[in-house]
Amino acid sequence: MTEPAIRNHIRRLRFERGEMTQQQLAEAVGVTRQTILAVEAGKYAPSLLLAFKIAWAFGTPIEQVFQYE
Amino acid sequence: MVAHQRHALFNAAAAAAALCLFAALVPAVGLEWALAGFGALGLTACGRAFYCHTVAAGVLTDERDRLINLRAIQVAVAVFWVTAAQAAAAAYLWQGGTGTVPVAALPAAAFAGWSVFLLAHSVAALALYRRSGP
Repeated sequence: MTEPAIRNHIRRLRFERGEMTQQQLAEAVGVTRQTILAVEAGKYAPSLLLAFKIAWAFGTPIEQVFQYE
Repeated sequence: MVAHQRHALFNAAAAAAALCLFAALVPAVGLEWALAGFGALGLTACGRAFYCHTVAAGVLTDERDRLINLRAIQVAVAVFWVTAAQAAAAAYLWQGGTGTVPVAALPAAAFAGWSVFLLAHSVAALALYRRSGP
């Protein structure tokens, strides 16, 4: 049985915002670049607070960044 | 490799070195003097050096680091107790129900226990970092 995954669109959203770097996003939400890299790659499921912060940094609702499938 | 990973690698090396030094010294100089091997654990005090440049760069620790640290502690506690139980059972089988324990065996057990905990924690942290990210 496969576990449901949390998909994210961070890579696309960064691209749409003028190629925002992972470091810039990390600084905006107060985490390390490695954590952004891990979230983006789907290797780490962020806390609700971090998910909201990332959505806030992109200026979009959280459901446009993360999707539960 | 982030600062936390380098720190874990350093701690693992220090703990492994302490255990190996102790094990190598016991047959050569006896239990009391072999305790000096655990002096290698003093190297772990240099751990702060891994974060000097990271502090200047910004965020030092975030939720992922804290989660990995918590899980590594859980693994280390489990490994410590399994090792302690096995050592106690082995000592009982070896010495029987009666006998005397050398005084140096007590600090040796404490230092060895801490070394095992530190080694397990560091190895678990390294494995968790590898599994959940870059």
